[in-house]
Amino acid sequence: MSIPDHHTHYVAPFDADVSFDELPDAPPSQAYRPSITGWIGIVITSFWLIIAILGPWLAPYGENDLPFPDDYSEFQEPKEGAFLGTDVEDRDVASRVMYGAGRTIGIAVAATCLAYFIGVVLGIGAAVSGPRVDMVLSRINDAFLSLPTIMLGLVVVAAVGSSITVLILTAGFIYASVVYRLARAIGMEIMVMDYVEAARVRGEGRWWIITREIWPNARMPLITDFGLRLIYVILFISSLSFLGLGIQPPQSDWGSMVRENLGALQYGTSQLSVIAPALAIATLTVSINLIVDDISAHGGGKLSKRM
Amino acid sequence: MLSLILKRLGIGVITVLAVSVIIFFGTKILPGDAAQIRLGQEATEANVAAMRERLGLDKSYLQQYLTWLGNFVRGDLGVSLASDTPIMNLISDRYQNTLYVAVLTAAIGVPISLTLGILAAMFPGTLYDRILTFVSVSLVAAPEFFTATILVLLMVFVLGIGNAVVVGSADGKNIFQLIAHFALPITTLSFVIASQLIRMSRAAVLNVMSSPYIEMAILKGVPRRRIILRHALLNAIGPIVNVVALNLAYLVTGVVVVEVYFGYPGLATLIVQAVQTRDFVLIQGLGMIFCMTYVLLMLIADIAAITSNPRLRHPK
Amino acid sequence: MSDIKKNDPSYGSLSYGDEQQLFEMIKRGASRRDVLKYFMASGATLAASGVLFGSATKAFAETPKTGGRLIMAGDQHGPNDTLDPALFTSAVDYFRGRMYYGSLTRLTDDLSYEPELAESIEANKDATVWTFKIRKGVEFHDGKTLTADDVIYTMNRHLGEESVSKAASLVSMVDRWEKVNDYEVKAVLNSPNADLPIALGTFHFKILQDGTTDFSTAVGTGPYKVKEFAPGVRTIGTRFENFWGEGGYLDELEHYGIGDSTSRLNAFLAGDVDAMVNLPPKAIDQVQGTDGKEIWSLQAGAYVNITPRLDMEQSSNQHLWKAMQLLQDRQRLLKGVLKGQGSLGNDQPINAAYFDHCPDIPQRELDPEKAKWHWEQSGIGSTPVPVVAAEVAPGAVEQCLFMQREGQKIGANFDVKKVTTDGYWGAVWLKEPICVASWNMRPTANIMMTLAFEGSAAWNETRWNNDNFNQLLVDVRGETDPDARRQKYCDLQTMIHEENGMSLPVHRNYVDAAASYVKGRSNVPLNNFGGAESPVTLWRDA
Repeated sequence: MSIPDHHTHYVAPFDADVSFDELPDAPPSQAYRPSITGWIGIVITSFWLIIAILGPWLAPYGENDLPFPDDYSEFQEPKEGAFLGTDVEDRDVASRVMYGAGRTIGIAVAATCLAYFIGVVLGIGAAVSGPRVDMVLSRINDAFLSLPTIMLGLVVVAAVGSSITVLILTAGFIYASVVYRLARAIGMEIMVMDYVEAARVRGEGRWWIITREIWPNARMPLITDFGLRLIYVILFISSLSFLGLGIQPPQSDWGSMVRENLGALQYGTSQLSVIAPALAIATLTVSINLIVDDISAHGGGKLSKRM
Repeated sequence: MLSLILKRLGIGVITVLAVSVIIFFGTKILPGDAAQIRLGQEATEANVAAMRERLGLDKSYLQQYLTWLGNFVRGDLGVSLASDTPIMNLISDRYQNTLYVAVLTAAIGVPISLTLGILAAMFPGTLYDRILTFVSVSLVAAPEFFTATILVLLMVFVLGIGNAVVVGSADGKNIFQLIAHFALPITTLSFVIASQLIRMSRAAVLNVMSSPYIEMAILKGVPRRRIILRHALLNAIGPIVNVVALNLAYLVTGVVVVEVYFGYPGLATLIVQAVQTRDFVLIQGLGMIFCMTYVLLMLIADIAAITSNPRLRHPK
Repeated sequence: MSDIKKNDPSYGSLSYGDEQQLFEMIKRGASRRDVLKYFMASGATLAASGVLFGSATKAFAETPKTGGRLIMAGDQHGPNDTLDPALFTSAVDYFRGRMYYGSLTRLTDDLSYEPELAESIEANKDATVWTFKIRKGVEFHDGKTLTADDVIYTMNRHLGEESVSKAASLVSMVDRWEKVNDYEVKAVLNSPNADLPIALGTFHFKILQDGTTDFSTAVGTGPYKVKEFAPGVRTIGTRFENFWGEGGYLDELEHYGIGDSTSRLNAFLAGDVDAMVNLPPKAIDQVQGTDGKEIWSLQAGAYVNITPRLDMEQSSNQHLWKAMQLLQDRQRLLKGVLKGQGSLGNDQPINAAYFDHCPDIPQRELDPEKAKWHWEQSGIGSTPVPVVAAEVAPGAVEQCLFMQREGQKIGANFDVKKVTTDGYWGAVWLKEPICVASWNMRPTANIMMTLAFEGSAAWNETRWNNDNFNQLLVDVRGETDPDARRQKYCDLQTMIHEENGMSLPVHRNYVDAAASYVKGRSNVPLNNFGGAESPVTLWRDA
């Protein structure tokens, strides 16, 4: 795992003082209008989403097909019939990137959604419940946070065997602890706001407070974190692939493509087989970040920015 | 303040206990019989049964757990199933190797990253800030083994610096020799943590910049650089120390890919080997070591934050 | 049993012309294989030609220099690395074993044997009693002298039901070991075995000191003593000054494990290590194009295979495994994956590297038409057929993926599950209905088939059990007529080819790489690094 998940937001020592770097400290009051960088991010992200959905139909070959069945080479230069060249098994790099898009983004989205479902339900739940529930949930969560994600992933996936379902469930549960911490902190922050106090005094029920007060205010920071979390899941899966426990061959995903073609950098005639998927990950990450940053800046409107 | 620190310490102990429960019963759920693993495939039924008794596997889970925890508290992590060696012996040298790299990376990578991040916060929105942000985001996106390969090709094969893998012992080397010895892993890891640290330190400073007392200072006309160095930075120390601590924890526990890639015998490669050989006892021991490292680092970060910030010393 | 002592080099019968030809070839850098081919074409036997080559190359060998240190990079390694020879499982163990221990016999490049710690070896007429005279004045690392007690103690560890030895099956015909006097021992066998001295030259039969139970270090008679042994990391040996024989030229010899092949290659090319095992075949061109780096390749009978269990529901379907054999893309595995470093497999383990290879069995080819017919007969249709694979050797995973690709074209649905390499042998192999395996070469066809194809063998992968085969395998051990022997071995190989069920698409060479100053490389084709025999002879040329 490249970057430990808990890095995306620092965790302040006291929950009441938690503040979130890239996240707005107040929800935006008006509709989001992207800036130029925001637009660039949206265009690139949409491009990859389209490839992810239509990849199998757009790809010139199947992901395990040989464009040139009669020769026995590999890492071929781009040429007619394979415009990004071929990979370590002489398959078409372009087709594999297209097939890989769906699997890479699909797994990341599914795992992140799962992490959010568990994390947000328990996190907000802990925030609105009494201190005892909060104490128990948070200590259990601390325990999971204190174990390295890659170790948890290795142990689980090695024990039950790797499949897409297992990868999604493992990544989802592991990242749920990070989301829990974030959701709980945001929930806590909002719970002490005057308007929530007011609602309580009015005698509103817990459910009312969650849906009317907490969720609308917690939504934006959570959504912006969602984009970053996607990237970490992609890197997490690719780390597992590096250790031989990720996506199963001959299926492609971007992380394992980088891994299986790594030799091209040392002894390949063409390096595109490793550079293309690496660039795919990079452009997706950067574009999602551009959107995230744009939304945060939009919501922030801080004096420091005007200095 | 002392009571606060004691409270943190208490939470740390509870976390370690919770982890011990998770690790112990988690490894019990995993498929595979420890006695069988210890003896190998050719072992007879009778031998396995005898070994189960010797390892105490015939007792109830609760009894096993309490024995294990008791031994752990006394510093005995048990004996590896795969190699029949005390876990402590397996871990001690590797812990040292991992610490070398973690500490050297922190010593080199952290100051550089923090300086870059704080500089970005001093000039937000400038070309420098944008380029730095873009580069750090791109770095997040690169899988570690990709960064490592590019660095090996550039540094070792083009520039002739460092070794492509870490062979040979680190013993008896002075600080400069150690840096050369671990040049490639240190550089790779510095890149990995840099993107985080740059973004976090920039964000932490900017966050403080938007607080009322800084706005006040701005309105009073205090020069920007002075505001940042005198006021903002001091108040951002808490969050920054926390990020640094998290990164240190990562450097000790999470660098599996980098250790495997550079073939240096640290703790993380031991996890991979433990998982592959289904060495449950070793997995349990490593889990506890990692957890304690994490808790300890967080505790230090908390104490640093508490002592540096007067407001935290007297919470509402 | 006239030629039991294959180690007597007697090439005096060569004509002057042949001798010149031999020397010319070796001078030009011909490999052992080239020489064997040339002489076998002119009627010499494989074994004899091998001896010729060995003796002739020795004449050209440079004088070893003493001193310096070498780092050899291995691959698989882990906390289960051991110094107990009976428990050796990996090439890393074998190499380390050779550094620190000695054995009664030593295998040679042509897979016959030379005496080592035994001074002489004699058998009775029907090869049921073997007498070993033990070399005098051989010293252990702690100064003790080697005697019969040490040999008896070592050998008894491999005997009996309770033995933990991984190689117990190779000496299962030994009834008991007897001490004749301090320097002579006797093995009494239940059934004849002409190959016993060869078996005793393999990895597991390294001689320990009487009573050894602590394996945290190794007190052997080998050319190096343990300076450091860290399981899963490295071992370093320093020269043992009182080594009894030739060899042990280096001040220090280090074996270091680097699991990842890209990292290992980088380390080798950057000069961080002096030699590496299992060079990725696709990197051969690059290594050959680099100054001062050489390929260290051994033609061998090692192979990868896919084994269906004949005692399980789906995989016992003979149309299924026949289709699998016909779906093997053997050419692509050999040319594309192994880059020519190997030979085509023919669904039986004994290839041309073995003395008893049968060249008459027609080569099975990729044949989608015939496969399709079998597939239809099997009635499996599009039901997924799980195949478990791990990267246990080059080509092991690819053979499954290629089969899957060809299978798709005829409507077969192979579900390839890739799992981790280590732990594979314990958790998957011999257990799953269909899985892959990787085999090292064995010194003789009989040992190979006894280990993995005899009906009751522990490593009988498909559980194929044919009484004729089992009987013939025992009979042939006593067969002295060359023609009858050849016919019997042909029958054995044909039976496996037709009935065993496994797909064996390709035999692979051992492809390692070494810097050109790494001299004294052995070429015993049983494992990497020259059959793990090289620690004795390695030296460093400046």
